[in-house]
Amino acid sequence: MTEEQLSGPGVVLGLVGHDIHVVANRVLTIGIAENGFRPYNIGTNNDVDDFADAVLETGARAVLVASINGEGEKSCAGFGARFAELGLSDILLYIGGNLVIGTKPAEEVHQVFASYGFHRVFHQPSSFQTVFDALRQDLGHVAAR
Amino acid sequence: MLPPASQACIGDITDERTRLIERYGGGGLDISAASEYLRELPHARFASLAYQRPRERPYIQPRGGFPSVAKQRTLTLAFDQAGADFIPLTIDSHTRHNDYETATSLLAAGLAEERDLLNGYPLVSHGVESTRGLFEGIERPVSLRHGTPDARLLAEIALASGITEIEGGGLSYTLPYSRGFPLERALAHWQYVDRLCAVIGPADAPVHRESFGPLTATLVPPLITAVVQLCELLLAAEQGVTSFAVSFGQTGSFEQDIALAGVLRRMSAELLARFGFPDLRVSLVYHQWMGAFPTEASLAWQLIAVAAAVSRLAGADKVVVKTPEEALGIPSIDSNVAAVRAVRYVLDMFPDATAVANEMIDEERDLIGSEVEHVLEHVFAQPFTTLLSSVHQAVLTGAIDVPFAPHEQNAGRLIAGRGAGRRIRILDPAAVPISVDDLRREQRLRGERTPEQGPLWERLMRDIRILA
Repeated sequence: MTEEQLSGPGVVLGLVGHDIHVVANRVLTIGIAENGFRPYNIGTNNDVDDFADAVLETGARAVLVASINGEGEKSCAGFGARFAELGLSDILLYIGGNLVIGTKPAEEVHQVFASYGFHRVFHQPSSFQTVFDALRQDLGHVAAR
Repeated sequence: MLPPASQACIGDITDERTRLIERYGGGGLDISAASEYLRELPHARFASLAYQRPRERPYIQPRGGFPSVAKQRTLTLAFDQAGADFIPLTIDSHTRHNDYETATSLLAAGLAEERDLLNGYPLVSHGVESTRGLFEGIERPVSLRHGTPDARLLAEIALASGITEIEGGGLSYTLPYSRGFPLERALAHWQYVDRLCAVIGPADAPVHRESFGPLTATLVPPLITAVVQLCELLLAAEQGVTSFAVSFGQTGSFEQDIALAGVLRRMSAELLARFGFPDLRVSLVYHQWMGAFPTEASLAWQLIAVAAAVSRLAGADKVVVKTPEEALGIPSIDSNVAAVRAVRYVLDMFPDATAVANEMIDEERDLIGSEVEHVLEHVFAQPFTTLLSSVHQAVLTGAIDVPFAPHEQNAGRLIAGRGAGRRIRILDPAAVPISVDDLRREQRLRGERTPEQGPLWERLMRDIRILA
């Protein structure tokens, strides 16, 4: 199974921040492909324009931003607005990971990231399956290319 | 490719050393500081001589680095008293990425606020004099533990500070530790470090080099570990290094640990003989489990104890120890000391350990050996004039592929998981050139894939956290 052979809707995924622990990202990439999507893994240390560039290059329909231990929260502010500015307002924006340092009520975390323009927020998800289920639900109508 | 040979030696590096040291301009470091200091250093401080002495158990090597000199000195004395055979100096991650300015300012801020803002000892910021002081009165070798693609300055300062063992290598300290540092440059910078280590010590007490086998410590098949170790061994041999340790991290399979140790021993000797480096002495280092550690201290202790036993049964010359606080963050001094004492306690239970053998180990040893030979011959057959270029090309084409490495020049396409007996199996070799026969054996040894195992991503997640 290689990324090139897949034909479902594209999903760009990557980390904001410098975290070098890319294990989850690689497993997500495999899982996204297993769920019938085309993953484009852009690795670590990305900002909003890196994600937008990847969408423009690949024709992906969704972006999955990962953040660990609250790192890179700054690069997430205004994420949705920047995508709209670039004419990418129809792209699904997800964010997931351990989104804050320390503990904060989940409700609060969801509100903050929703206000940045993310359509779905996965704060400390118990399984990646919730992410794959959401992608299927949100992109179910998109025909394979 | 021309065979690995001493003609590939970069020769006299005096000019490059002079420029590097001048650019640094730090106090206490000049071009002859290291060789003069090492000439006067007691023999007990040389790792290479320790490896030459007969011993009944593997040497014990803890890790540890704190930002301030005072705390690092306390740690050093505590290790010495606990009976650690090798004393560590672990470097912070800003220094590892050559960002000395940030390391220096975080060191100052941490001292002012009385808390640690660095995850290790900023060696370049502290310089030679303070670092020599850390090890005053210590009669054990000190080992530099870091993760640096360009370790030239770090190595210069370490050697001038009386550190006689330098860990790392162009592959093993770049692919797992850096996203963007160009691999070819890292390999060239490690030629400098190898050459420096080869020429700087006294004739009867060479500086010791050690590679870093655990790599990403995440489902790395033994074959990849061995290929990286053997390439770095040969690259060091080309530069004149005469004391070198290959290493690997506990695989999570007892059989594969024993088998991999055997393959590394045999093939190191064979390759050095084949390419004409008879004077290089190779040691074997075993890292206790480098993957996700259990958070529960009582479980972490079991893992540490079992790993200690395996290091002995694998015939390791040195074991690098973990602590019960591994999953929680940077271990405290007390935790480090307790781990050294515990490992020593376990090792002493096996005074006469003999080689372990059974059919499963034989099968693993045979398979890993065959895979490694195929990949290495592929590397040697590259149409380049140097081993360095061939190794570089092998990474670019994915013939050497480290799972879960963040580096953008690493293919990251090989997929491995755990099969029968929890042993690491190659599920998809991608561009790693193993033979069709060996791939069939991997598939046979993997065992049946059952629906209960769930999708691949779920299985990988489980395999990665198998001991957590």
